[in-house]
Amino acid sequence: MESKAWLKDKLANLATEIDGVEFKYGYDKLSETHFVSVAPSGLLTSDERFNSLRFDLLHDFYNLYASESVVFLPVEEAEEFSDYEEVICRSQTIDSYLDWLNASSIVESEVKLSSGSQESAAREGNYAIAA
Amino acid sequence: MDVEDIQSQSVSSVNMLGTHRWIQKEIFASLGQHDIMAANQFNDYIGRIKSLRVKADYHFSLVGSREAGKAHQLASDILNILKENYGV
Repeated sequence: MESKAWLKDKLANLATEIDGVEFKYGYDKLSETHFVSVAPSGLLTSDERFNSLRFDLLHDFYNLYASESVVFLPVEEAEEFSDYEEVICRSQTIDSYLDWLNASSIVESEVKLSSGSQESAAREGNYAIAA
Repeated sequence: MDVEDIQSQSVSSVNMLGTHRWIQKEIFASLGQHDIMAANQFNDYIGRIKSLRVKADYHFSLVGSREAGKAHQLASDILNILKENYGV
């Protein structure tokens, strides 16, 4: 398997293990370096589980593709080193949250609409509708 | 790993990887045996400085003072990891 595909596949797996993580991917052909932008960046310095899993990923990668490098970067510094593809994977938690957020905003707008109908009906003296 | 191991692997690495890449892998694996966080940091810092070095030597773009400062900081961070873990 090509190294890029291998790495992206493993990053997708890693995203299922770590709540709230988001990865972007970039590649510098000349230095044969794969760049992975990580958000939130605190994971890189303070999350033992994440670091244990990424150490295993790096160890496996270097056994397969010894001449290439993989660098994990905090999202705030990532742009200095590469251009990135769109978000390639994020944890289910973020997806669930975004789904919830979208659903909430739809419900909220429906409530406002409904509330507005009640007010206008009351103003017009149609208390049956307002109720 | 003793001196003979290092010599034999180093010789074979010249044909396979080049000595720079070989020693990076060895230090990464060695650090990982007792400090995974240090191994990951070493990997990230060395990868970044390598990228800057390649850019400086082979790209047509110039490395500015900001990137030079960044490379200097990365080199210092790498040395600190090596000092803390190997007493060098």
